[in-house]
Amino acid sequence: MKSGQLPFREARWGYLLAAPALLVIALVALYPLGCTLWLSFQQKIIKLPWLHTGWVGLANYRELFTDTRFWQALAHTVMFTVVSVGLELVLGLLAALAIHRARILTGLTRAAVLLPWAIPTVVAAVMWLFLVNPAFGLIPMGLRFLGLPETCQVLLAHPASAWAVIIATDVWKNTPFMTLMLLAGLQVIPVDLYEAAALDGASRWQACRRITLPLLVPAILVALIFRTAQAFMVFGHIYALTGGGPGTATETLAFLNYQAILNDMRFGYGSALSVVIFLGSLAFALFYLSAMGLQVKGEERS
Amino acid sequence: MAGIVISGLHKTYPNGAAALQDFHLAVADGEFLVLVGPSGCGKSTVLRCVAGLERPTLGTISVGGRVVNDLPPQERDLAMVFQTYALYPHMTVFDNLAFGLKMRRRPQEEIGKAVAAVAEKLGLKAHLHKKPRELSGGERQRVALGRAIVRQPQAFLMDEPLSNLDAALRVKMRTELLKLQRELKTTVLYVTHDQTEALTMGDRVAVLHSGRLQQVAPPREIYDHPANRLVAGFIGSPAMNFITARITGKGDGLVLHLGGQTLPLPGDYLERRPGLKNYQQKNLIAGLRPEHFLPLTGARRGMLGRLKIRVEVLETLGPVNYAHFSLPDPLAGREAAAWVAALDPTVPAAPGQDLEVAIEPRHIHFFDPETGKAL
Ligand SMILES: Nc1ncnc2c1ncn2[C@@H]1O[C@H](COP(=O)(O)OP(=O)(O)OP(=O)(O)O)[C@@H](O)[C@H]1O
Ligand SMILES: [Mg+2]
Repeated sequence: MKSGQLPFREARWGYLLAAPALLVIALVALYPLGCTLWLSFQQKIIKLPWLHTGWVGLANYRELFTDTRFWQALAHTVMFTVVSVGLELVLGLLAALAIHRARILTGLTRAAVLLPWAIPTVVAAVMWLFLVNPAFGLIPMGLRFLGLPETCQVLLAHPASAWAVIIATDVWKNTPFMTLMLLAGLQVIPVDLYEAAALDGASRWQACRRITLPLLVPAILVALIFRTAQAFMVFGHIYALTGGGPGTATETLAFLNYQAILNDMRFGYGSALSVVIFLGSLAFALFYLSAMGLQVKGEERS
Repeated sequence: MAGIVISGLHKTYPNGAAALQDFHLAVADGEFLVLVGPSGCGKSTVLRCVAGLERPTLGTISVGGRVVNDLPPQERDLAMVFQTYALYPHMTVFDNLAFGLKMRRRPQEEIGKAVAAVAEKLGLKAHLHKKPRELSGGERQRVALGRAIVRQPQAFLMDEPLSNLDAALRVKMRTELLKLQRELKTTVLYVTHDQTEALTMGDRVAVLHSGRLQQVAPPREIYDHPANRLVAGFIGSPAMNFITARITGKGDGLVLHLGGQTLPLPGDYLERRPGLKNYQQKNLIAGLRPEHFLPLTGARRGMLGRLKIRVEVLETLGPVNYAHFSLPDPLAGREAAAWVAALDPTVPAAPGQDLEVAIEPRHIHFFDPETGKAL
């Protein structure tokens, strides 16, 4: 039975080695998560200290799920995530293909491409705030030049145009990340596959569709995981550009959460919202991981 | 099916590397021509220019009488087998084989039939649903071959297709490939750095060295009459032995000085080798293949050439023994030339032993010491 014991001993050794990391994860992730979960069953409103403080069961969740503002924020978040990540994927893919083909990614262009991504979200948002400023912003100036009415030039005052600005900011900032991820994926596709395809009679477009895209799927999935998780938590753009306005027209889940806890000081209710957001992004992550898992298994099988 | 004619091909890569210079080659329709040469001599460059993957700096390439210089690879109707196979990793064997036909928009039914026929011929039927990663090296190689033949192109270009296989499989695939070509009668331009492959497979062999074509001839002729010292040294294994030599004397006194020894030559030697006439009393390079050392048995006692050697290392291979020895090379002003003799195992030989071996003068090759040209 020696052969049976060895893997066990190895497994124990493995757990031992992983233990410190697991401990740190438990301390910085699981413990706060537990606290949040516990808080979400409490009523705790710091602004109104005379109200009952303590266990209220599922009351916070009940309130949350009947609150139209929550459902609205959820819809906003999903819309924002789908549109901006979708745009980033398409633009990033086009940029990556162009850069790969032209082989222009040398020091300077690399820096230029990466610049927006390296700028902190709030700084990027403030830059866009300048760009859309009705008094001196470049974009309203352009709109004025095109002869659009004054009201259209106050971009952040209308829900649709406010969203357009938020999404533009996000796309501007995050497309470089997408581009780099996909470029890395492109660079590992062997050149001789394209040569073989050319001799097989495939046009450039056919080679792109039949060779490049299928072989790029793993890189696309990884990039999407990162970007979707980030977009789902969008906060900085909203905070700096619109403050959730006009009205609540650009409120997202993370922004609503911030409002509940730091503005309304409703710790219990806010925690319930946090838990819901957490479960949402967990579902996302599991979905992608299983998609990746399928991908990986498919690769192994092949 | 079509012949390939390459004329005046020059290729200089953008970094200034001159890979090919004044390369001329005509592959006849249905011929199996092997392009052979040491690593980096420009073999792949020739293939890639013919395939349309590289633009020639100068020169024209025509396939089936049509100049293809300005055609993209898609329109040249050639198939290439890559050294790395370049199978599409995300497609099944079936899809790999069908890809070229699909790109040419052939009807589904025809594709199915063509792929099935090729799979049958190459013994890939059981693997059609597998991905390349699930195949062994030999099977992948057959898929790469199948992908080329399924399209029935004008000609095949093969870039060292057997070099990734183990020795036994390589020998087996060599004959299978030949059989296939005899059957299909398609023109093949086959690149290899392995001279054995070149000699065994080619209808003709073209030897390339440092971007320059050295000789094009049938294998036997390349072997028996190498055009120059480069070809002589490259073709044959173990390689031909070289040493500086000099011919002196006249008539019955005609002798060859080599390695500090003298070998008598037949009186009519210079008449039979007119190329040597102007080289009397001058240094020239003598070359002798390892297999041309003969045992000094009774019948050969009276034969002309005799060389005294001291065996340094003896390699026993079974059917043959390789005796390594060195010959002083005073005419070239160097210490010694390392030689190898392939001896019959019945010849008693051991390291450190002094031996006498016979040489037939007609087996000796001579080359100009400056130009390397065969004399
Ligand atoms: N893309 C390239 N850019 C610059 N130089 C190149 C390029 N491809 C090949 N060369 C050079 O051209 C010469 C010939 O290369 P080639 O690949 O044709 O050699 P080869 O005979 O096929 O060698 P091997 O047997 O190793 O495959 C080499 O000196 C190589 O360094
Ligand atoms: Mg090569």
